Amino acid sequence: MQCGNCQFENMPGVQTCGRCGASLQLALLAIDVHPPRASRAAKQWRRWLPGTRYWRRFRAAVAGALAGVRGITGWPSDLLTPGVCLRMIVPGWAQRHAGRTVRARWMFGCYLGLLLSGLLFLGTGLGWLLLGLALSLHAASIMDIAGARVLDFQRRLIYSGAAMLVLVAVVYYPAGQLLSLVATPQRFNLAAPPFEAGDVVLVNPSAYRRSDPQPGDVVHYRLSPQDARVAGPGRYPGIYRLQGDRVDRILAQAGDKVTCGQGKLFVNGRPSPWLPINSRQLPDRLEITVPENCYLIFPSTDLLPPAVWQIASIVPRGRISGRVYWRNQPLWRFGSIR
Amino acid sequence: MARFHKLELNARNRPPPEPNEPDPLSRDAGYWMNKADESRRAGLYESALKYYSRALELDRSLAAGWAGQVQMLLQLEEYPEAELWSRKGLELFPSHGDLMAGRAQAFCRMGDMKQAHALCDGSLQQAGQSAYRWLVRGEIMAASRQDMDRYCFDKAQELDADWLVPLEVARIELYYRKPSRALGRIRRALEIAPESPFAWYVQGICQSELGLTRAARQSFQRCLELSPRHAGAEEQMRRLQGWSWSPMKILRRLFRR
Repeated sequence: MQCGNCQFENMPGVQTCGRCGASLQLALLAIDVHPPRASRAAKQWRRWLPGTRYWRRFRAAVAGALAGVRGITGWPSDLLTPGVCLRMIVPGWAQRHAGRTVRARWMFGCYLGLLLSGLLFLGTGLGWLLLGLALSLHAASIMDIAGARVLDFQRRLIYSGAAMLVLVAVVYYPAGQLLSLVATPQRFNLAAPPFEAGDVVLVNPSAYRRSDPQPGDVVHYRLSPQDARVAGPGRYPGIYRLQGDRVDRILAQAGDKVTCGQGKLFVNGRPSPWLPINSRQLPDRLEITVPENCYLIFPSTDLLPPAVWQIASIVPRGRISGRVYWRNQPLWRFGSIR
Repeated sequence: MARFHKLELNARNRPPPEPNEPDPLSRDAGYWMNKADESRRAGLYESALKYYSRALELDRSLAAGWAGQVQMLLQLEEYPEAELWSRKGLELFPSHGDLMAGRAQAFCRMGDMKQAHALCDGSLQQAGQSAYRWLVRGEIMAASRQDMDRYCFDKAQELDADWLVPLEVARIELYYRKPSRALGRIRRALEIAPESPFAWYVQGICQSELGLTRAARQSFQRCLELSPRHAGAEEQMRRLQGWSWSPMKILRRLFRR
């Protein structure tokens, strides 16, 4: 019987070639001879994403590191593979991979619902609770992966805890940092018309990294602690302590001459297209020239005597922390702030 | 009965078989292997892959058929599939040098040079010699930016005087964006087989990569004379005739492999 691979003449009846080990019973075996094919889209992706060429190298490096961890901890080899670790990132993915589709759908659906609701209520106690629940569900999905293998409870807990720690460090913390770059929630503890106590607005702290604030922008700023003395009743002057976080609109920039009177605002002699957020709160009479590197922002959300406005309205550039662009809470007033 | 007039109910209406074509019932694995080789020489890798599969349907012990399938998958830029298929082939033929070399080439194209080197060394240690193993060796050298690649390609050409070897070397050189070297190789292929339309087509590609538009047009023209329905050459001719400057074209050229 001649081997198809090396043409070695074998004894009749043998299963494999005596020289090269190739199967001599291939003609009798039911083997699919049609190779798997890549779809057109997959080929395009592979061509356009050079990173996929390096994925194998990355996976080999991760596999090496995981093999080291396996050697130390003694965990089953099928729990610490790059594929399992990757599938842990999305709750339900590992379950779907294991063929438990219903459980996978429930886990992913509940996680997505909790995560989106948490983001919707960002900045409120309920929001943090929902985000915490989403994280817990993620931990539960990892415990489920560990539970599917034969592991005692203690080791399962350690495995899940370690996996969650890694996930928090690798996924959640960077994601949180990225989110805080574009959306930092600010909650109003006291009513500041038109905002009410409990309102949450989103601030974009990165808005002015590359450009300067412009008149018309609604910004979040922090007043430096300072005392403003105004004539009070009797001999003693009234003292207003100006400090804390505020939200209002920029009305003029450095060098502009602003006059205000009879409910109208003029910048450099022309009527301003912008008004403070609380347009009812305009001083009766005020004349200010905005100093260098400062902006004019009327503290219209506070009830301050006109004499204090002169001091409180000049905000240095460095005190502006970001642009306010969205009201997140309450939901019935959800929308952009212009 | 107009609905049934196209059914082949009457055998007398069938067109007579071509003189060289064997009877369909007596077509064996060798026949399909020859067809696959013809298609491969014409640059029709998709058809060649199908013919190799047809050959393997009749005889699964054809190691050359498995190796051919892997090589066609590689030519079609389906590297993960080629790697998978070569692994399957190696399960059946554990010490087949060309299958090992095919797997090494797949790993090389996917960027896993460590595996590629190991498999290529393994393939060269197997019994016998083949041009393909040295061709893959050369490709791995070229991918690692080592100058030894040309010696490996020369060795492949020494082992097999077939014009397909320099042509496939040229295609590898083109893949690694070395069109001037590829042109030298394809000229050698054309010296051996001046009547091959696919070789003229590859020469045209090399010339157009080098900016030799007029020469490229002549090569494509020659390819179309030899094979009037060559889709690739027609497309290249259209591209050369409609050449114009545009920022998008420059961008595409920059990102083109």
